[in-house]
Amino acid sequence: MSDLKTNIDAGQQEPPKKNVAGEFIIPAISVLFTLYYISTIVDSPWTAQVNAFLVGSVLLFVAAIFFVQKGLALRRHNAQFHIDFSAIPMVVKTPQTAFIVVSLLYLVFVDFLGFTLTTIIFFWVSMMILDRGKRPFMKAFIATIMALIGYAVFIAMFETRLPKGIIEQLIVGGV
Amino acid sequence: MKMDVNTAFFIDLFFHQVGLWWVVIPSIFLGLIVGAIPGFSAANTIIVLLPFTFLMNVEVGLVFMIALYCASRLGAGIPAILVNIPGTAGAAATPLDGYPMAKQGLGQRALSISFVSSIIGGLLTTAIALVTMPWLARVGFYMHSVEMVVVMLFGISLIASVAAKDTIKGLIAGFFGLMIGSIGADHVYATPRGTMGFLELYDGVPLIPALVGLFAISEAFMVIETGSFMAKDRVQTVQNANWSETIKGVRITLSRWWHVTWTSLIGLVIGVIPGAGAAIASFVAYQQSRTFSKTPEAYGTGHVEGLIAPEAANNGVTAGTLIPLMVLGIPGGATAAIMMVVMQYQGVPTGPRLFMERPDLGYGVFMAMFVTYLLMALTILPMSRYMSRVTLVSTTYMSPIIIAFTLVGSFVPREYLFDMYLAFGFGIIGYIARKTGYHVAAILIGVILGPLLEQYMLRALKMSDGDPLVLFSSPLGNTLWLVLILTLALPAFLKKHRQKAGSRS
Repeated sequence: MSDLKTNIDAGQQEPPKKNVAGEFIIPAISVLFTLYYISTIVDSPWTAQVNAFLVGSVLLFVAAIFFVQKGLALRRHNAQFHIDFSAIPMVVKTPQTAFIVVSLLYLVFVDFLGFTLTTIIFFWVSMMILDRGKRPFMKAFIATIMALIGYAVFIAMFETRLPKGIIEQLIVGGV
Repeated sequence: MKMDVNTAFFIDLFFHQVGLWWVVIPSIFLGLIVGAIPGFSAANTIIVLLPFTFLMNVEVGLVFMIALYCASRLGAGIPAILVNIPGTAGAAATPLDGYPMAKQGLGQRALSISFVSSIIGGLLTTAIALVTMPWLARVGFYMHSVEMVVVMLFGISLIASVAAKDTIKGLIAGFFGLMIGSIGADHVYATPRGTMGFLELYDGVPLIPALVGLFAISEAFMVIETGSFMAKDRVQTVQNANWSETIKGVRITLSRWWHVTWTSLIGLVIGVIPGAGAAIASFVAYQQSRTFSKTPEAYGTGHVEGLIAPEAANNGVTAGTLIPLMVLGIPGGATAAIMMVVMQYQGVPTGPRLFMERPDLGYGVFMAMFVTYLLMALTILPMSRYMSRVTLVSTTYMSPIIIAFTLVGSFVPREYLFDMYLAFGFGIIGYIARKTGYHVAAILIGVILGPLLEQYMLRALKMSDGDPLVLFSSPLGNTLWLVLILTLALPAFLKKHRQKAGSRS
């Protein structure tokens, strides 16, 4: 204990190693996509291949350098590769994850419920999630106003053919 | 109609266009709105309003389209600065330094700098276009596929600048973007490549969903963590902001008048080349600005010149794209093509006949552009103080609004629900990239410029039966190659030179 204290006092405590696990995601996606892309053009004429082979080979080369670089850092114990599976339940419960899921659900439901109704529900649910359930009526009001502004701008003014639902039919019927 | 084109003619034309303020000012505000919402552009708004344009007198119709076009260019920079969401691809380089300024509580100053550099860039290039139209129109004749390959490489070399802090990660992001940009049917035999079976990707990756996803959606996910668009200690600065920040922005931009001038000229020249456009101009201008800067290491952290360069350049493009249409009858971009339709419908000729038969219209288009930029200085600049307050709105409200409205924006150009899913997919990629230290701008540069590079390179190679030496076969092309190499080598040389000078002193 006293040894540790002495080290801290002397400012010699080893800094925590940087976890580089996340940094592998984009190179891994890039490499997988490049290999898939190349597989789709193997039997194509040279005009379809030239760009992909040029760009793809550079990308694979750079990614290889990255993997070697990180591999060496891990071997020299300058970094760590650690995926904390125990943290997953905690991450899933965060408002951020819930918001990402709700955003995806918005895309799924907009085709069935129409733009305006889905947008009102999406706004309200997201605002409630992000503000941890505070002032629900106020948020419902803001959600409705914002969605109606969206309707006025995108559908009424610029005539965008967004999916139509009950609210759009009511508005058109009323007019 | 025979008219003498002299100084009195231009003065008369100027006051005549000022008299059309009642068309210009509403068009400016409409242009700002469509420019600021990703997915909406001047071109598709003009298409929606085309029936009204046909009903208008041809002159009023053209003035309406010009004002809308110029204002949408300027409007695209507003969300790029305040919330890191470029309204169009032409403003994709603006948040590189504009957004860091807003995060530091300097949103009002950044807007002011952006507006003044856009307005000066627009005014200057319009004035130059008025005088040098016949000569500038020839630029398009000299720029063939080979030369265009080098111009594209100028833009793509920005990846290296963006990647300055971590070269390997920056290059991975940039080349990943270039690979994504290669998705779609090939340009010669229409062989589908990397489409994952989606018919919607046969035409390539649509630009707006990529832009919306990488910038807007990933930003909306990111800011939830902080709860605010800017550092907490800067909130007070924005709350207490007064006119002095706007004036400071004007003063800063005017003191860099030379920077505004040469970057807007880059925009003008690139704008003249049919098919090039604002995105390439702003990337090239940003890259060149960084190359010749005394403080290149400060780019990406809220550097004033890093904001001036793309904004001056993309407004320089506006005058440039109209030159081929007016002088040669060849539209240089989508908006110019729609103007040509309106002119043909109204029986007005384009090309050399326009200046012989209706010089008031030919020169009038550029004068209308000049007047629009002047009126924008009076109407938009004072708004910077109030616009910057957007950054104070809690992310509880802003994040859902950004997600919903930008997803709609990605739907607008093609009206496919698929594009909304695509934007979401890009949003997740952008979010992971940001969280793990990869630059989303590098990915976007690849997605935007990749297909153009491939298109021009294939054309050049087809002409030479696949001989790559064709890329070094033209004197202008070789000169551009030399300039490109010098541009890439110059930062290292200047750095060494400054270090030497520093150690001596």
